Amino acid sequence: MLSIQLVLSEIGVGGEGDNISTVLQIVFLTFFIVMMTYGQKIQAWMMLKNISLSVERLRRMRDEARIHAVRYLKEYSDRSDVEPILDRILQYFWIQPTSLDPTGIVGKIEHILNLRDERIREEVAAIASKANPIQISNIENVIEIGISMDQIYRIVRHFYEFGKKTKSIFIVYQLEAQLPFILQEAEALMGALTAFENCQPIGDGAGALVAARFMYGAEKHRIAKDTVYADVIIDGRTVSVIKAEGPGGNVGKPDQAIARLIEEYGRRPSIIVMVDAALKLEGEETGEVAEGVGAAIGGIGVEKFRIEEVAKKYGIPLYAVVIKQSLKEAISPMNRKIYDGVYEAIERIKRIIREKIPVGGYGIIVGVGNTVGIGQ
Amino acid sequence: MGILSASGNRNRNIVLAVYLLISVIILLFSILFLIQAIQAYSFYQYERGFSLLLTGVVGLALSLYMLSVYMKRPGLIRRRELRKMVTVVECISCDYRNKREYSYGDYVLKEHGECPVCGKKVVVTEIYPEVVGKK
Repeated sequence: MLSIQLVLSEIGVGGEGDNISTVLQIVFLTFFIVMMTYGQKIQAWMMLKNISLSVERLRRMRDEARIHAVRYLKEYSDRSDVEPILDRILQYFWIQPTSLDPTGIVGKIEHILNLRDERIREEVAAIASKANPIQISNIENVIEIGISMDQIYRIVRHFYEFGKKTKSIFIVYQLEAQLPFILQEAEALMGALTAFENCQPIGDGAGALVAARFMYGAEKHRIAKDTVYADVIIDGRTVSVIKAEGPGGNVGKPDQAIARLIEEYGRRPSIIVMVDAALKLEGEETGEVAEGVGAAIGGIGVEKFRIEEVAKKYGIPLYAVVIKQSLKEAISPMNRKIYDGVYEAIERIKRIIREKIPVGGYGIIVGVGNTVGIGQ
Repeated sequence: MGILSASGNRNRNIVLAVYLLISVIILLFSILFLIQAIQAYSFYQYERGFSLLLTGVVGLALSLYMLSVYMKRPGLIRRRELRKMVTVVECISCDYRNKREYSYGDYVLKEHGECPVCGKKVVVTEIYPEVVGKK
């Protein structure tokens, strides 16, 4: 201990004529001047260092998603040029129609999105010649995840590089504030990869599962692209149950199915009940069920618009039942709590039907969501 | 793609080892300064004690920060929940229910043979991940 004291005295720490106080004063003064002059740049540099780690993580995720897609595609393909074709598909984009004249924009968006979906499906079907329609749907979903991961990585990298170039603290602040949400979404997408590859149900399929349980055992009819319906009797009321056709990864066209039942088949439901998965707020329990009114359907808004239009035109009340879950849970394999939510939602819907549809009356139940791993 | 080369990994490990060594040295010196500070205060050498205390605290904060960065470094293998997918099958007529390991091709509402109790249809009702431990 004595020798250590000697060493410390030698370097002027705590000894006679304490040098360290002077050194510390100089250090603090230098630190103050440096921070006054370069404070923002140092802060931006430190934040950029943190962001660079996240960008690297996103790059790894993007590469992993691509590897998954290549492996999955090769399983069902006998072509040797799978990778270059996949790399081309991974960079597909769609251009949103102009909203300068918003009249009819929903139809335009629908048209463009249908075109995009058809193009991807055609490409997949051409490469994966050995896949059946269920597997083609699942491959499409895996590719969609690859496209999303690629876009997320490119956009984050763009702002990171731009922030690095300009050293602008405001750009870096915005990016750092958004990163936790972006990383959460990216991780959730990666969790969905294995679910789609193995055709396992995901949290988003909660609504589809509710519908599937209602229509189990009844005769099913195809009513729109990738969409089926079945007429069932619930407590003396006839109910048409609509869901996407499973067990492949489809979301179907519930809006077209509803419109067809009402306008082409001439059916007049007393109510339409829509059941879907909904994002929970932090602090809320997974699998919690809530009721409300309106069209319970996510997406860009095209289907929601169509359903609202039909409901308004014929004066049909729209009831909504949602099963809450986080974003990660929505695209990860369905967990036990969500199944409990599904069973509760079924009971709630039965109660709504008893309350709102007279005995002998007619209603529609729509199970919204991706039906991967869920039959009917 | 996305996989570091062997030489890249070796360089990274060397840098990490040096970083860890520096962090630990700073930590040890900081503790030493703090012990000296206590000694100085016990001998009523307030000025000396303050210098040592300040140096010790700054060093301790710096070393702990460096160690926390080291612990949170990307690529660190952490203990994660080990999950396996299970499939629940139920009889549509009686109370028969069985949970087994998921097998490829299972999907919810898939008919899965006959009930060993009543002979009616058995269907898959649930497929979900179950925590089986940590790795």
